Amino acid sequence: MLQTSLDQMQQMIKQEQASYSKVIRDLQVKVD
Amino acid sequence: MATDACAVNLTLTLSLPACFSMDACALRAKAVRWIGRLAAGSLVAWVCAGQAVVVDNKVGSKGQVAAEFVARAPANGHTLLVGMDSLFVINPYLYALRGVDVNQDLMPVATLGSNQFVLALHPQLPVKAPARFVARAKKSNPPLAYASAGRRH
Repeated sequence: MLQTSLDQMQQMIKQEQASYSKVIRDLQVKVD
Repeated sequence: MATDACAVNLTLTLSLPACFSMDACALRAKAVRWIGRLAAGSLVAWVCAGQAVVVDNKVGSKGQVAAEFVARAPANGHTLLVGMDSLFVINPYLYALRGVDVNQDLMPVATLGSNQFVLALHPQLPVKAPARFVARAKKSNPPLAYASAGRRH
């Protein structure tokens, strides 16, 4: 489903950031 | 009838390269131009009724170059960014140095599309979690080979 409102998009971004930050932290990957 | 918001033409900044690799150049270029035409055409129809929309390709660092350009542009609504979701949810945690805070310097306006990327392995490879695959890849000799729609590293 495509997010159409600002609130929906910001909520989606926060959820995805929480998910990806954990994945990237667990992988211990950092790019200079 | 033009509004004040349309007195200055819009700049639509694309963070996507015209092609990620020479092999995929034709397909990627077609897709990117389609996205640009779709977005620009929609803006013309919805917002500015006949005003020109400049499509500006600023490729590099997984969208960071385009994001920084838009973040530093005057805050008058005339410079928009078309970026991938990874710009907002992966780059902040992947890159050590960043010139833009996507949570503070940019504001989402619309979702233009949705897709899924997956990490796919041969089913006989005895790893069932990304971390185990990374550990195996780091120890592999010779190095593991992979194929990707993105640029080669």
